[in-house]
Amino acid sequence: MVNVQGPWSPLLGRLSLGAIPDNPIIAGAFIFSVLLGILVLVYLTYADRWGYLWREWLTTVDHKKIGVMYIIIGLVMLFRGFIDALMMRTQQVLADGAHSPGFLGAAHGYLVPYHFDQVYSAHGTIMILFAATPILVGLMNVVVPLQIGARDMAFPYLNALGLWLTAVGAALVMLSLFLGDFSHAGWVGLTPLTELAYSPGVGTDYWMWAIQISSVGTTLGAANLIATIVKMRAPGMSWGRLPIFTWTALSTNIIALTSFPVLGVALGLLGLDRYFGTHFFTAGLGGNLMLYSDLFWIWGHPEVYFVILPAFGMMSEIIPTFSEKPLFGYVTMVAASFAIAGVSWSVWLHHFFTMGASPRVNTFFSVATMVVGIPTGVKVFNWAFTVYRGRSRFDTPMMWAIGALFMLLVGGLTGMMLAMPPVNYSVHNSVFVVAHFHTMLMVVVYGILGAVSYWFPKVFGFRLNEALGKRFFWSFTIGTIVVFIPMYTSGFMGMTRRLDYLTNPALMPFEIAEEIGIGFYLVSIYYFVRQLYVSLRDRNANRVGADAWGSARTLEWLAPSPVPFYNFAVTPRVHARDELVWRRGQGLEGAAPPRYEDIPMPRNTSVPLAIGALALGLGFGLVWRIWWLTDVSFIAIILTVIARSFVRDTDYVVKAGEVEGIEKRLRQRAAEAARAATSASGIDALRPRESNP
Amino acid sequence: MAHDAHDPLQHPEVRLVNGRAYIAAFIVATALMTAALAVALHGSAVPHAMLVLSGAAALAIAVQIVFLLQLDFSSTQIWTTVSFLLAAPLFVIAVGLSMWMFHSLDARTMLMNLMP
Repeated sequence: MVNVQGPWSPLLGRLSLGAIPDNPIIAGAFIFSVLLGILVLVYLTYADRWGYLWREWLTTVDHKKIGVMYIIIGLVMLFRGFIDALMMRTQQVLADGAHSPGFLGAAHGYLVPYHFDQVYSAHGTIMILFAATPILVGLMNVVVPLQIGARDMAFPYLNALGLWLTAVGAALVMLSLFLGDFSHAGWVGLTPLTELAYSPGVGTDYWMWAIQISSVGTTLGAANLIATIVKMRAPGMSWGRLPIFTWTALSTNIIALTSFPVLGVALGLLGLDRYFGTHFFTAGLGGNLMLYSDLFWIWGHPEVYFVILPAFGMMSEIIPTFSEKPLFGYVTMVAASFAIAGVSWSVWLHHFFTMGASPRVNTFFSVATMVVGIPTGVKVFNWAFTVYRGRSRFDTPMMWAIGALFMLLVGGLTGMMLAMPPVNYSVHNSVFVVAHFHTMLMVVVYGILGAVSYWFPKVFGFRLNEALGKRFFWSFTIGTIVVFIPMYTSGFMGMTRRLDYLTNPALMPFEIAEEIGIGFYLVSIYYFVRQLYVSLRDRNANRVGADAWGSARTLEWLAPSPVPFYNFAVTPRVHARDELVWRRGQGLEGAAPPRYEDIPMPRNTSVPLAIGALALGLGFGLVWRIWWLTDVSFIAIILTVIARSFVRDTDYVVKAGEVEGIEKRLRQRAAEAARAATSASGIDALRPRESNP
Repeated sequence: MAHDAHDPLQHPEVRLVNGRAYIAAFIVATALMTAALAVALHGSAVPHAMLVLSGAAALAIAVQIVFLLQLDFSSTQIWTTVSFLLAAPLFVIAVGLSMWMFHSLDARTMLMNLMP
């Protein structure tokens, strides 16, 4: 075991009062979080909701609720990551040129370099691993079992465990804000900066363990989704009839299952360096710091496609629905998804073309990277041909999907530029690269926001407000354009990334433009929150039937909205690729099953939550080197898993009569909602309506 | 269990559980790893140390596939077996391309030779 600098005690490890940062911004964030926390606790107590929270959410194994909780974690972290972005933009606009003013102890701007470094490291780590990944996993959790006609995931208990491990990772990142500090070595963990000699504090440990623990959750989730898709499809749901989103979920989880272990190994070796004094990634003493970059990106690039493929799937569901036309080129879409997943394994070196590999090696990876353009191009044309001559409606989800298409075009073409090593050499580590990958991640964000508004009525039974949704879309889009076009430009002018201070005053106009753009993002968040509030307030006026959009095509729209805990009263038999369209054609839409059956369901359990709490103890103990806490937590986790394996009473049966009662109530309510909608607006109830917020 | 069709213990995957095979796999794998450690520690004394290590690793993988994971081509295991086989190219790509890159890197940067 390595001796660390500074005091250490057996009881508290490295933890002391000095770990609480002395910074007015962090103090403000702390007060904000505490007030918000108190507000939530007071509400839960006052409204007597503790039992409800425990029964319905914290101990649930229902895939829809777990998915919603994943999405909530992701949205909270998305907000936190956005605040980091706001801070970075503000620092760069303030700290420009030798005469720029300094505040809060900084020579220029208001963040000292050490804090600025933590902010961008936290921004990257959070946005990719604790915002995009959980929201995507959440959406797959909600939608995939419904799309294939399953009752739940293949392993509901494992599903809950994955959720709580992800929550632990997010919690560790949040804890680092108020207790100690976060990594200052970038979200990729630049070696040898992450080594103990250069980062003796707890920041890197927070980063490392947060990712390590949450990636265990993601890997378990991936195995679960693959098993669900392979084994739990409803009768008739052959591979040729699988909805595209489910296909992309399958390809993306194959990527997750095969690539996340590499990350685990890379971080594990780094952990050995930091805790046991080994020399895997040190400069010298037999270590090889380039090996870390290699291992990290062997995971890192597949991870890029892990986040983008589900977004492609979402676009492939939204565009046909709002074009009222089948998806163009189903088979090529599936083939393209798997081609992208396959090629994702042979392009990782383009993240470090400048490391010094030979031209032959660089050329190989350059060509492999450009090959990705072919299946992606196939997808773009497929979406374009789906819209072509369709009966297009531009509801909010469709707007997001079309926006994603434009982002893909810009991000993809700049990606082709960066795939060429000569271009890459001149713009490597510039903000041009930053603008490129943000445009690509915008494809994911647009896809996610489209998917959230698209499937929201399926989960909650009412639609989100259209008018506010459009305002959200437009303010967000203006923000994207105003931030990233100047960023591309200043990248070409030679501005490198991760700068806490700009020496070139000529860059000032671009920084001002980006600051204005981030202001539009702030406005968009206001509209999003207001959209959620207004929609929740007016939910009774916006109730929907099973098919919330009137032109949905896939199986999940057959189940009532909101979907009851058992999903389908009777497992549906699938007849066509677009099952709902087929049923509509046969006049079978909304037909009740001839008889109901008993449904076996998994029982709620608090074990995953307990394991999550113990994993938090383990992670916290490892970060602060509190060995008794790590030992106790680790042994308790193992004992809990063993004890759980002896529990035989893990499921129960919902009687056929009870199912029939629930179904009758749901049908009645859907009919009432449809009538109320028609009488209120006087127009076709199935058409989406604009309402004045 | 009230409903046998959903008894997890009746799943064919669960029926594969075999304590004796697990213990055998554990013992053989531990023995192979101990032997590999010994070879690594006294590399100079063993002829063709690299080959011996590779052989031990291959044998350990084979033992785990057969005794621990029980992969075969039966209808229960075919998906797992095929998935395993399909993962092999990824392994070759990741390790092979990395070795190629480091080989060229070593010649061009000489970084590792300069370090103490």
